[in-house]
Amino acid sequence: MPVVLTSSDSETFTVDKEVAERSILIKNMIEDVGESDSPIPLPNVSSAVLKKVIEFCDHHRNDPIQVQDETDDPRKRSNDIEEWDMKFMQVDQEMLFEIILAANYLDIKTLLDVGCTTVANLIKGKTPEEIRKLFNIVNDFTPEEEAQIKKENEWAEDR
Amino acid sequence: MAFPLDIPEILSLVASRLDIKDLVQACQVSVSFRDACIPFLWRTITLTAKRANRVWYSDEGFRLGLTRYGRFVHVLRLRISGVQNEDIEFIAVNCTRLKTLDLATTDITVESLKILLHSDPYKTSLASTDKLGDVNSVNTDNLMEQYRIMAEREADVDQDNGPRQCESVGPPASSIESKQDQHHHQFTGPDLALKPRYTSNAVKLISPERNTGSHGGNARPDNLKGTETRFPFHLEELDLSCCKNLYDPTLLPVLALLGPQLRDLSVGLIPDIAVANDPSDLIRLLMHCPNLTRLDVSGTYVDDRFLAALDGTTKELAPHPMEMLDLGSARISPDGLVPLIKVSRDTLKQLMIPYNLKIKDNLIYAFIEDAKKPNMTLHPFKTFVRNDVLSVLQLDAGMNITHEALLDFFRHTTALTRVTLDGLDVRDDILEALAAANRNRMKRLGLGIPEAWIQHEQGTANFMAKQEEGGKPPPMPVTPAGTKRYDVACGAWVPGGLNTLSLEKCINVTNRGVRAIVRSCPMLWDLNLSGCKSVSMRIFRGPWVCNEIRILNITGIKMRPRIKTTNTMLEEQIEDERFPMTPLLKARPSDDFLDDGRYDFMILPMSMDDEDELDDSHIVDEDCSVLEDTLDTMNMYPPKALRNDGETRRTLNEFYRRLGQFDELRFLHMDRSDYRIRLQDGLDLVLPALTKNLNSELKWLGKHFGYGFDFSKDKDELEQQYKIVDESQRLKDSQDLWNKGPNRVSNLKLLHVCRDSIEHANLDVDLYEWFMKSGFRVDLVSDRLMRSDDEAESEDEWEGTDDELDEMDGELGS
Repeated sequence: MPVVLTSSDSETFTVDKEVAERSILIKNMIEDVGESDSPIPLPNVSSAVLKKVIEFCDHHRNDPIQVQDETDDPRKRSNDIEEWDMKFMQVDQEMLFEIILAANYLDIKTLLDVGCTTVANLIKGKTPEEIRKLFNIVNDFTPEEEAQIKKENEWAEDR
Repeated sequence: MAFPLDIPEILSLVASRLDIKDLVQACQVSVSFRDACIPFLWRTITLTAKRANRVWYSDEGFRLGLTRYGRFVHVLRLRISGVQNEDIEFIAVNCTRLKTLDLATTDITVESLKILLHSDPYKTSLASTDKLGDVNSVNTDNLMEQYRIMAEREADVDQDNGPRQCESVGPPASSIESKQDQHHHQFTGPDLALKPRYTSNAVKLISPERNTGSHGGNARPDNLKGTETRFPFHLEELDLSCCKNLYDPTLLPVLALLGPQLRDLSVGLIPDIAVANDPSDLIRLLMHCPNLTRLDVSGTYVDDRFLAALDGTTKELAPHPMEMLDLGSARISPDGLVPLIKVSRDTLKQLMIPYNLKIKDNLIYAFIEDAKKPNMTLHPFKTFVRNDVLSVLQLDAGMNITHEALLDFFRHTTALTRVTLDGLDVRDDILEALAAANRNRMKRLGLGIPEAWIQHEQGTANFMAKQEEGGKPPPMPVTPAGTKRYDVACGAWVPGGLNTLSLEKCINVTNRGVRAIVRSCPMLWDLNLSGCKSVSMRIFRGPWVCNEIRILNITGIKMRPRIKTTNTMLEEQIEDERFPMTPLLKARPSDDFLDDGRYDFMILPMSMDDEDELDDSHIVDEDCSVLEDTLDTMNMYPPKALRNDGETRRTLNEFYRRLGQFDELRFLHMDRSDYRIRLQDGLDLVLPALTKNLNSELKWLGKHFGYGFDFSKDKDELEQQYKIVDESQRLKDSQDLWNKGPNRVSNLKLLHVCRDSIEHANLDVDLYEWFMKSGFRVDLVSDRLMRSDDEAESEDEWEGTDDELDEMDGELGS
């Protein structure tokens, strides 16, 4: 049965239930309300972003359920993103952040993971100044704090 | 627009994906970045190798940091020399939530350990005289929870009081002990109500900010003010292996103080741990530590008596199922181990019993025996049950295990991830069973079957059809209905699955078995085939699914194995049907590809020993062929018999291409071979292709090799390749290539090349510098290639430097 979603700018999207239920928020809503034709309002997500999110969920609709695996395989922590996801995330920064916020709001763990990994990959290999520039962050350290944090963590750098 | 990095949870999620180098940078960005990054930066501290002492003793910033952020430290691996009481005091005071302490190979003494484990919160000393039954694990578990809640609260208060000074040292241990005891007397019953709220904080402490001040009301009891060293209530894992000063009968009673907390203990290579073959101390330890299920007693005097206590035979303990047991070179026999395996069938995940010649089939059968029909294993109609638990098994040199038992075993185990079978009677059917178990696992998880394996089976079917029906067209390939094909290129993560396989000196393994493995196990990342005499380099033909391989040992794998049977020859015929050889295409006209293999040697003018003999006129002549002839006659090239022939070159070509796909490859061992690596190909050109950053390694490789791809026909590709080459050239010119350039060889750390492979040539200076700058080592080992007796034990097996080994240790994890 299809599910109707309404974005913040009142655009409606009709998607399969199994696609929509990749979002835990929507899944819970459907469970609470029961089967119903009335659209689900998503006041925090614009249509442009919702379109992307649906695209992601649709691509991953058949993903196997992740099995908890206890082995300490280092690759599990690796920041490799699947090719499709990487292409999917090739958007401008504003959109990237919107997607992350939407994933957080809609509670779509895989999308949030991919988004955060993309941000982490952006940070990789950059100096603090470059990171600030990249995300438009103000350096709110006092000079003393900055000196201290540098000193305390120097050991981790040379390995 | 809301900014997602303002949300601490999201920033924390980002920080969790950064490695330590990037965390150092990121925590300097802003206050909120610092708060998100610091817990991850300090979560695991690994101080090993040369820098350990320097950082631990003389890095003021580190010591200051540890006093401020010690509460974030979960794992501390410290390999310093000269562990003093003060060091342990420093750890005990600051690392209040330490879970794992690794002091292996240090000279720590029991007295120093007592500083950390200074009191007896679980009353082990009182109960020690009693037999089992008195130690009630449920009660001690409850007690442990309560202690942890208390410790959390104290930590929060400490935080409010601001950072302590690095120099501050608590009062003498005796006073702390007494206060600790008082403290835990006070602490009973009523606080249980608070448990859920505080334990959740204890387990996932993400942001330091979130805890600050929130529990300000729970002031620390007055009588503890001023004391610094608490009992480490979170400590669960202790690695003391190889600590030479711990040959001490008082060690185990001290460890027993940890009570139900202790889950994982390594006391390997401390032989006296079971003094004079008396395991009673160890048994007592297990009595007090009911949760200790992971035990490394390799290289100790532990014997069957201890195992008999574990499985409950001697009634000293209730049956104590184990999860991990390392019994390397311990004095155990199957008689002691088999009952324990039966007791632990549902829990035993890892068993290491290498180099134990007493092991026989009954041990292997114990894993898969049907408990209801215990004697059926000897019956002609054997019945087994599946073992879905066992994941790591080390059986190196268990010479007395028969092939039949191994086959039964591998047909009934489904969860194996690390298997070492060095020197055992492993044959292709065993590897095929292992590969099938892996494919079934993937099928169960809904991941389908690797495409490579489907092609493999189709090829086999085609071949068989051709044979039987005399040239009739083969039937349509059979793909089981409903099978989703597993697309290897998508890099999907397969949980579990075989990741390490060691088959050293398994002389009965042939290409057939290896192919089944490499086409079925996408997660394989450590493959050791050294000394598998019946395997040939032709395994590199056709597709592999394990393209994330990191460690590859093909020492002694030859182009043409000496042992040939009709079966292996048939297999090669079938392989030709499955995956026909890719034709060699030349990208540029060049006599590089003369079929006599002369250029498989790197010849540099500087390698000429005796320039006088050279006729100057030939050089001036610029007629290369004359120069080459001269070199030939001068014996600068090896005799024709030693050169690669056309077939070898084709196979090597496939091999290089395969290497180009292994973009995670870090260790490659390939000496004692019967082929020549053309240095220019094998090293200078293949290795840059291993970089992750190139999108099309293979094609790029082809460009440089002139092998495989004809770019002259594909203009776009040609342009792209030129761009890549130009870019790397530009970066090289600006001396930047090895620091930031897109071509940086990011992963390879060590290359082990047989000197014979580059015989008659010196390592080009540029090339050498290239290696140095790329940060890895080239080992040239002594001549061994044409040694008539290639059975000879290789006396210098590969060994990494300490740093590299440490790093590998860290990566390989448990």
